[in-house]
Amino acid sequence: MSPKDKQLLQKIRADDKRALEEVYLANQTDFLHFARKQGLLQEDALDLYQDVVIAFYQQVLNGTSSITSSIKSYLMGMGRYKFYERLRQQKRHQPLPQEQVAEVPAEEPLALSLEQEQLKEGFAKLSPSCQEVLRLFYYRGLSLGEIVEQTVYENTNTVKSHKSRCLKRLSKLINN
Amino acid sequence: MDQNERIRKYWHGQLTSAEKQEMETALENDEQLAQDIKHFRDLQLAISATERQALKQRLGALPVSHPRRRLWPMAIAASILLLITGSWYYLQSEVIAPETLFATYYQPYPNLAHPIVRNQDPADSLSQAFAAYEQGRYPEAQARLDQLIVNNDDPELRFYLALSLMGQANYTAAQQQLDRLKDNTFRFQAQAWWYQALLQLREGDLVEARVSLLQLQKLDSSYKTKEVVFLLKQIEKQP
Repeated sequence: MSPKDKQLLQKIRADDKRALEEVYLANQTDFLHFARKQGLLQEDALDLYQDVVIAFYQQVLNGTSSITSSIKSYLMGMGRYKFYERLRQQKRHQPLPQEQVAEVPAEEPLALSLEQEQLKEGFAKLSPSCQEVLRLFYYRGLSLGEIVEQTVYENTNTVKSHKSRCLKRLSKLINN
Repeated sequence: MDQNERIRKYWHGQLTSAEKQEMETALENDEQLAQDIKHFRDLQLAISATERQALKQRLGALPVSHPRRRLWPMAIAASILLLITGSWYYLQSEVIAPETLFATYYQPYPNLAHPIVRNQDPADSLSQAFAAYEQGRYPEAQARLDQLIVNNDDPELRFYLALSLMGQANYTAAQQQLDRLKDNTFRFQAQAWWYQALLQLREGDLVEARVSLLQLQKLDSSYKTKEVVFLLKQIEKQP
């Protein structure tokens, strides 16, 4: 893997969205070229590419990516996987050509259950500070100590009590 | 450990295998724990979906490139071929300074001795040493390998110690470590001779570099075959 890719992955692991934008722009032309060859319209190709980049970002962020060569080949592999998956779902196609998706454990996002939808709606109504602390703990999987390091909280007790208040608030929003 | 913290670590794959096992055993009988994990998962997925939406919006606002038909692939391929052929002839015919040869051929060797499991904090000092090496934290890798070698003078550990030193540009110390491996038979013996030869080239010690390369050829003629031949030719050409 090139030093540039390593640096980008490091930034993405630290949740740097500008690094994600850099990855997105750097590989867009090649991806759209591939999609065009598969007969996808520009709009569908862009939609697919955005899903691929987002899945890549979330995998890197939560440590489940398995990049061994380069970001570009990983994205292209994921793209092929998702492209054939979509075709399969539309029943227009065919088994997945395994040789083309060697490196890719891409998962389609699950449809949310009713309870998860309610949590999502409630979460959107929380204050920014609540959203942030819950995001860091539940989504990024940071410990209370790591949250202290990355934010302005003074210590883990403050984070813990703030998180607890936010959860109560969320629960209240859902039950109302 | 606080229950919430345990669940967080469990969900994000940060428990040790023993802790995970313990958690899964507890899960079989503890309904409250199962409920707490489900709640964690629900909230995690809800936030994840929110994040996806926000990211989609953000990426959607970026400019779109319009791929054009590639009109000149053959021309580009031909130019590259010319460049490669030209460079090859240049490299074959020119005498290259030994330190440039070192700079051209030196690359850190991958960790093939002790695979590190992703998503798990390395628990023992051996794993910590190799995790540090893989991540390019060479001073830490060096310190940990040094300590490990005190109790277990394993040639593989010493080989990676030498590489950790090279990673810090501490070439003299690296060479001393590789020197100590000369009489050992081990998995990375050919590689050790390769790095030794590079270090000797860097020092301008052409006679020794040649001996190391010949040793490497004798030991494993399939390792770095072309590079070894090229370097031997370069050594012959040196004034």
